[in-house]
Amino acid sequence: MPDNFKNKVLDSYKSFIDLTQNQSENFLKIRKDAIEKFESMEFPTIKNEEWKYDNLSFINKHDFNIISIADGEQISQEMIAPYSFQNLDTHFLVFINGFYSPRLSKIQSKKKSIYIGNLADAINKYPEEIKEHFSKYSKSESDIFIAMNTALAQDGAFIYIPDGISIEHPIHLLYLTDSRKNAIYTNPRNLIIAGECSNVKIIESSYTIGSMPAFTNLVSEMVLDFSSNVEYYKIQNNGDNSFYIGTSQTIQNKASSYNSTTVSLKGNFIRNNLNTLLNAESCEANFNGFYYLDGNNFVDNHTLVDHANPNCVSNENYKGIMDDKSIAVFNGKVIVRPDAQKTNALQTNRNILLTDEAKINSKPQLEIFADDVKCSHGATCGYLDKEAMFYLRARGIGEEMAKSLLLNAFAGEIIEKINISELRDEIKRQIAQRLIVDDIYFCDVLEQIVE
Amino acid sequence: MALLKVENLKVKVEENLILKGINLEVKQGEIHAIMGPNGSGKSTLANVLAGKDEYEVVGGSVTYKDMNLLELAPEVRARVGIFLAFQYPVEIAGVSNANFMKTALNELRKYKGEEPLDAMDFLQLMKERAKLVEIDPTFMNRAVNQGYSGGEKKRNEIFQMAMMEPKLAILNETDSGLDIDALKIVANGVNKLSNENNAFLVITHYQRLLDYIIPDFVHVLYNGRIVKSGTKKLALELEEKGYDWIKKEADALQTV
Repeated sequence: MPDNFKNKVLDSYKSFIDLTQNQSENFLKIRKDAIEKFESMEFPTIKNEEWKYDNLSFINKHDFNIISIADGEQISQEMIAPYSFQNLDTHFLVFINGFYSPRLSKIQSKKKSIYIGNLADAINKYPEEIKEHFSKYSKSESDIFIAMNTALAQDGAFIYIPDGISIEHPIHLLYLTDSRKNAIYTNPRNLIIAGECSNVKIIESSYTIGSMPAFTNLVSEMVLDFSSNVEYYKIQNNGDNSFYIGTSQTIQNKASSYNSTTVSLKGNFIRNNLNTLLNAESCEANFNGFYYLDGNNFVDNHTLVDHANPNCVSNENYKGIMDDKSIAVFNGKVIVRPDAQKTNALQTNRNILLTDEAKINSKPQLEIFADDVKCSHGATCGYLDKEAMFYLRARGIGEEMAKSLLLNAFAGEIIEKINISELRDEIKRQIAQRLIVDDIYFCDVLEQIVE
Repeated sequence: MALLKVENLKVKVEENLILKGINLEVKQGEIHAIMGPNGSGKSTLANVLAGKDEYEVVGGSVTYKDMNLLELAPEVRARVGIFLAFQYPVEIAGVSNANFMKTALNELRKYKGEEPLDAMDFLQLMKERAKLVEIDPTFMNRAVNQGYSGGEKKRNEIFQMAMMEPKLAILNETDSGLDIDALKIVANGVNKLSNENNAFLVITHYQRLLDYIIPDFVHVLYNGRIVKSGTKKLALELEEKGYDWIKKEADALQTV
């Protein structure tokens, strides 16, 4: 039945809005506005340019339950152990079905003025900041998924870093969905505020426990104040029953630096909307992406860098390996507004197809309205280098091992950019699992000895 | 014992018959030089022996030890002791020399039923062999051939040969593009590796290399056939007179 899910959302809103009467008037107004916008919109079809390659039929195909109450009690520490870092001290925030679990989370010791916690609590503790920033950057009218998240989201991460603070440990946001009994829909909502001259590294990963379909609709808003430096790592290695739509909207103030690395290894459907607005001069935005898909998996990386001011630099480098019948989309939009002189915007997308049925749709969109700029884009798509393959084989390296070496090398350019060594090693390990494990990993260990 | 026996080998590339019946026998302990003008089929011979894809064998046979070489995949040929030093070694971004050699050596050892080398032993071996071709050990972490000069690439080929310790090494125009100093280093490396158990097939256009790597036999390849064989003296004759007299002789024979 069409619009089945849409009705579920509307019903869910009605039933839970009563639970939130104690929230601020401002907040309630935002939600009401969001649900109204949601009601007036339809889920996109392939006729919508921005969703041309995305098959959203899964939304109505599965009977998704909308989770409106925290119910993560059945999840134990042992169950989440495989998803945390054993050798890396992090501020670990665990969300079960979109709700913060203090029991499973662990925050390292820190100054009181720093807030690393959940949105539901922050709504009452930081009303000024919420009022100033919440829903100011991801607009409900622009996208039905944003509207849906804004209307329904009850929890997510709230990170507030005061001026001048460098957060020593990375913050790890783990979103777990429990779909052991039912197909479920969750929509966590993040708000991250990085004060002037602050530094922080954030890791986001999502996993599903259970085999029923799980649909996550995540929206993150981020504010980077003057000269702040944020590194954001998004790791996507979930099951074939996982469907993920993530929208990240960042606003950057003067001289801020935003480095985002997205690694997509597995998922039935992944759509990443990564947007940043360069709202002042001298900003820097570096978007790196690596995707390695197989089976029938799908990933769509949509990026938007809005050069609204002069003297900013943006650099996008996405690389992909497509196997079996997997499909990837790269749509990189760069807008250079009329006053954004001395803009430097680079964009590359390189792909290797391992089979004839794998597909990549690569579309750069450069809208340049200033005249003193340096902008370039390039996209390539090919197969493994035959000359390199023969060279390796002529030295006794078998075909499969040679392929693995070359694919690993291809991925390396992006993976080496991950600044957290334990995370980098973990990603290398996950990639190696898809290639031939032992020697690849062992060779890297050797390199460390040689140094 | 004949290490390599090529009998009446005929090879086509894209419908053109390049090798028109090559006969060659290489025994252990021997160094054979193959010389010839451009277009004679030198590279084709080297590539066919290494197992490159684009070549179609339309006649004859190649026996290595007691095996039918043409049936073996390239990696198997390497593992049974054949090494090709490429004329234009390819750059492989993102794969370090250490990673490359370690993988190759361990595949070789796996094939022979031996344990893989541990990291420290491998490091030792690399440092030792690097000295042979005067390569700085720090090159181990650099990507294979990336940004190397022609001389560095050729030295890397000989270094790899030193690591793999092949029974039959085929040097495909290893001297092309080298200045005299690089040439001497390469030749020195080859000479140190040459012993009574292995054999070399040195393919070259100029005889200059053969001043340093002294061949036991010199063969001239022209128009897909070996038209003359001799000793080192033949190479000197070619140096003096060029290839024209050989071409004339060979062409005359053809028309007869």
